[in-house]
Amino acid sequence: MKYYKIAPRLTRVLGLEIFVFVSFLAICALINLIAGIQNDTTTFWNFIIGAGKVILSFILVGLWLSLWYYLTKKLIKVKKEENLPVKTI
Amino acid sequence: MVSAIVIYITTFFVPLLLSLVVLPFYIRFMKNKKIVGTDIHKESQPKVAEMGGIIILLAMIIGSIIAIFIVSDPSDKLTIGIFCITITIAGIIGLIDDFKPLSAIIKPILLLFASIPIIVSKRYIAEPMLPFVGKTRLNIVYLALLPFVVSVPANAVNMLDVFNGSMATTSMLVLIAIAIASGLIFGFNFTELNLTYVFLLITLGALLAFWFFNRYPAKVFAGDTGSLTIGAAIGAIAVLGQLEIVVIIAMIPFIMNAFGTLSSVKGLVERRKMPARPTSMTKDWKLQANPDPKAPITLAGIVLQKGPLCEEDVVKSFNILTILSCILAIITAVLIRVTVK
Repeated sequence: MKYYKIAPRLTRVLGLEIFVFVSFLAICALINLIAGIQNDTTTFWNFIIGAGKVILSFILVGLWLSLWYYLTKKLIKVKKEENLPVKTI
Repeated sequence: MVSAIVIYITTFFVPLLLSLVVLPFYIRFMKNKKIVGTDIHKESQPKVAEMGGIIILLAMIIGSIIAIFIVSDPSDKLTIGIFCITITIAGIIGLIDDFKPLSAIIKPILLLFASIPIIVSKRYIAEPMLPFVGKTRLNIVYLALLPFVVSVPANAVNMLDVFNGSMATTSMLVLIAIAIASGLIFGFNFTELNLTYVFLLITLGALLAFWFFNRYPAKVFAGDTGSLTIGAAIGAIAVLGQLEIVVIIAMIPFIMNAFGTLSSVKGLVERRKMPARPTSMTKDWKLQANPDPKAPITLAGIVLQKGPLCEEDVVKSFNILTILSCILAIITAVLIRVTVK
């Protein structure tokens, strides 16, 4: 089968790939905003703010990965339900 | 001093020609010794030579050793050596797994050790580049994540090595995307030696030759030796070439396949110990998603839900998904370049 004939079967997975990428870019834009937060002049607060920025960024990356995992799982579930045999009365 | 172009040509053609010459003899030898596996996706159930990944590993080791000899900078020699040791550790773990299957938990744990050469030699820059953000400084966190940089891609590539040519073609696409991305970020200057290209060409040379014998209908299987070696090489290239994010994006289908398996079997389960196979065969020998609720849902399972496909077409589906992820990886590289400049 030619490639162009197979591609339409993959719309959902291709859509998920694009969504994962776009959401990653959105996360990067958010991390960029977080990185722009002004540091404090005192050493203690500077450390707290710096650590907070890193933790917040990692929470965002964690959320992105969880969303990706959840959507893959959902895609699987939908597919499994579609595959169930039709009940007849 | 050998010019960069000569180094590139040598590091590509040595593993390529070596594998092309040795593989036919290897296949004959393995068949004579009855070290073969059944290709269960074909009606004739042909016997196919196992563990062809040994040749990939040997070709890559020899390619790396030759590169060490022809590169003049001692620091570059050491970096190539580190790459060589990393893939060798992963390859040996794969070899052990091929002979005596390791448990689904032990294998990824053992693969964590493959990153040790990179960590000990400090051949990494803890500044992964993100689009819009540019270089980030993650000293401690980066170090904590480093052990997974080889283990995760190695396992992800291993999980996608299920059909004739599927691992080889998708991995080659990822390697090509990494090469383009590296050029976009660091510049396409072929007169100066870029070690990322050396690693990519060594891997690509060995893999291209292997693909000739592994494509449909396969004459040899890679085994875990091959898939773990290639996955480890991709992981090592990501770290040594500062292309971590690009590699993650290029490997989206591999990660999705791993996510699918993990979520449907609720954890790490050895392929041979899964309660049911993800796919089954139709009467006309096409692949179909296994309707058994116990069957793990892999990328192949998702691709096949709209109806049965022959093995070649399933591999083509994987290629389509990888081509898209590679395009997205190249876009990521462009965005990183724009941000860093």
